[in-house]
Amino acid sequence: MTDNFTTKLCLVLALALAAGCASQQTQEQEEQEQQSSSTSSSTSESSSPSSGSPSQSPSESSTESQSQSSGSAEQDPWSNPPEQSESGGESSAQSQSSPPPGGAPQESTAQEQGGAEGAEQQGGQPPGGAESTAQEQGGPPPGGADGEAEQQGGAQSTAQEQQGGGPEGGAESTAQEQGGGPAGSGESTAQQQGGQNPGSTPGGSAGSGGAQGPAGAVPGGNMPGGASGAPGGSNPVRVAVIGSPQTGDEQVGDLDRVLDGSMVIFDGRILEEQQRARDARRGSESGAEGSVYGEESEGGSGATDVGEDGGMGGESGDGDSTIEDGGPADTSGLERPMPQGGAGKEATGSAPEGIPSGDDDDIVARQLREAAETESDPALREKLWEEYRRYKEGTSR
Amino acid sequence: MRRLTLLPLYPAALSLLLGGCVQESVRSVNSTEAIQAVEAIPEAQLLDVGVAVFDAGIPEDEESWEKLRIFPTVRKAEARFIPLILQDTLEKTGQWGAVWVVPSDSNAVDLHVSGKILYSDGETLKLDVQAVDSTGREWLDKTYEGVASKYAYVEELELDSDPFQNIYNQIANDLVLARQSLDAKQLTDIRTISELRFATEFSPEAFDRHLKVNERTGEYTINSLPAREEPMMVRMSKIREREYMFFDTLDEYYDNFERQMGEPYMDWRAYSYDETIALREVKDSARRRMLLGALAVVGGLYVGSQGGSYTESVIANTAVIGGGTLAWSGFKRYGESKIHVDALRELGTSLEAEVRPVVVDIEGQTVELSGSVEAQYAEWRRLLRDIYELETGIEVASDSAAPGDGTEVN
Repeated sequence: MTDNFTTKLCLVLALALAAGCASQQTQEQEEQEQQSSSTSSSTSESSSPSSGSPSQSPSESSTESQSQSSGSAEQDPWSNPPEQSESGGESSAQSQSSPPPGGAPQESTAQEQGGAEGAEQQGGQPPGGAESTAQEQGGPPPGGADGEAEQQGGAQSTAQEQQGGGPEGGAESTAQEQGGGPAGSGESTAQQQGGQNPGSTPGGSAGSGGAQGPAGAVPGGNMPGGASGAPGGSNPVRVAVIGSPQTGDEQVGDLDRVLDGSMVIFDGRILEEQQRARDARRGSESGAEGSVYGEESEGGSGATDVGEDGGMGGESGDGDSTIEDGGPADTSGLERPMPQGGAGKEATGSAPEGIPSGDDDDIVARQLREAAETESDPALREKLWEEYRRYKEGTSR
Repeated sequence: MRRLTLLPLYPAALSLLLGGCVQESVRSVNSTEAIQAVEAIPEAQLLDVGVAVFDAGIPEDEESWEKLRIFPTVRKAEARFIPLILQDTLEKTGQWGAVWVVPSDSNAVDLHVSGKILYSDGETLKLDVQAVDSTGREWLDKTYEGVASKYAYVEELELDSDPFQNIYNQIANDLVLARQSLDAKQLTDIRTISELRFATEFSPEAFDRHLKVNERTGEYTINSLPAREEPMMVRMSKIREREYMFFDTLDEYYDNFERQMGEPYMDWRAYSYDETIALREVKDSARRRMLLGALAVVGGLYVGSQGGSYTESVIANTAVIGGGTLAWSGFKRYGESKIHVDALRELGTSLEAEVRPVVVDIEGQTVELSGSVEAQYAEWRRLLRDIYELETGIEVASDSAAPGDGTEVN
């Protein structure tokens, strides 16, 4: 009987204590809400401890991303509101429900915010890329970002951005370009396509094998053998057809534009090469007496030094040195994509009137734009701008 | 007896005969004129010509280089220099469309000219030249040899043509004659086939059905014609224009090469000419002396052995002694020829050292540019394959876009 009474007393006391604790907790929560009503706390930030960089504060990651990736700043996912709003909630749910290991949560966050184009272009983004996304949430990078990136390896991250994330720079990026992106590339693409285009069966399956290939990239397209993805990832410029319209004619139109764009770039390179050869001739004609050959090689303006100058045939040169040299063209020559982000080139002129903003440029458009910005020959520059404008009009239709 | 008396005079007479018979060849400066176009050639029959870099003709046996006075670097330089002169000659005739020096075979040209250097020094140039059009028809397979006039190297004359311009003019004329033997349709077909072969090289899946190749002769014929405005054909035209741009860029390289190479090469040729002539004269002279000396000795010994009069004996002794002296001087002359051989070797070595950087440059440039362009072409081939698949719904095996000949064989 006494035991029963004691038991009931304990029960009542416990209930009283529980009630008191509950009310206190409610009060604390209300106070916290009042105090932190202006504090931003996005999903990604709250999940940051589980990300690939748990030890970094937001400010640290912001600084790092500025120094690592000028390309990320250029391709600011926030600058594309429609894509952001289109994919935001859905992808957020993905990242919360099943966070991939390592840097993957940040990668999927990037997709949420960057939309289709950004995610696919970045492909297998290294952890640094995810950090830069976090930085971009806080606002645009400071004006000196490009210069800083140029000194500290901006070229690398530029190449990563364009080609799918080879952290080693030129050579690896090229390999990825030809063989498809790394594993992360396929994963992120699959997520994105699953979210945005549920009906893209062949494209989606191909995307997992070669995320950058047109077959995989064109969701639900009627391309024959679309699931094969045979040429997947073989052509960096083909990324431009990602998100292209559904019909075959339109896809052909897209590929035609890619072809035309690459021809314009080819023209630019060839004309630059011709100009360089002419300059070399003029240089040695007006040069000092003695061996014209010595002068040629020392002058560095001859086509001999094409590789070092970043001209057409610099297969032997590496991308970093080209960018540091500030050559007028990419060292890798025609077969390699041009460096992105403008790190390696001095812009010779801003966009003329009537040229659309480059915020939502795809890779071809960016290549055209950069070629135009860095072109020293006014006639060719005008031609490149004209081609850029036409290309943009074509893709915006 | 009378016959024996006259015997000692034979060597002297022979000596006079041989001495007076100095080898003399008539050398003229550019006596063959290139045939110029007198009227405009219709556009449809105007053929583009690609002159390939020549085979330098360097024997594999290195020991023979010394004997043949071949300097490999100089030969490599000549293998590019000679096609440039031929290109210039063909352009000036107005008989052809565009004329380029190309590093290798290209389907973008209508007529392909190639050659091999058989011999070259300042005095003599010997070339083996072939020309084949895009249908595979042979226009030319001939050996040309030219001897330079000494006036070709006289600076005061300021001759602006090559010392062996005759050869180039003859080649140009032979090509014109070969073209004149073809009718208008054949010429038009050559142009069409070169277009189709170029297109087939880029998109065999789309174009190989348009060409037939004869298995026996290797000649191409037109099977069918794609519409000019067909999108794939339009794309091919654009790419072909890029091939021409590539050739134009090579032209710029070769211009620089020619300018850098020209002066030292011409100097070498001029000195080499003098030394070669001198060497030959010395050798000829030495040979004559030895021959005459030997004859005099033999004649003298014969007369002496006959045991004639005192006068005949004196003459016989004189002939033997004189012949021996003459033969000895011949041997000495041969020794002198070594000086000229050494001089030629020195000249060649010097030119080699001078042109080596230029040759390395031009080789490197052309290889690099060709490599870059070929990589871009590979990209375009893949793109064209994708377009073809989209347009036709026919899936193409991935290796079929590689450059090759997918042309129908009959």
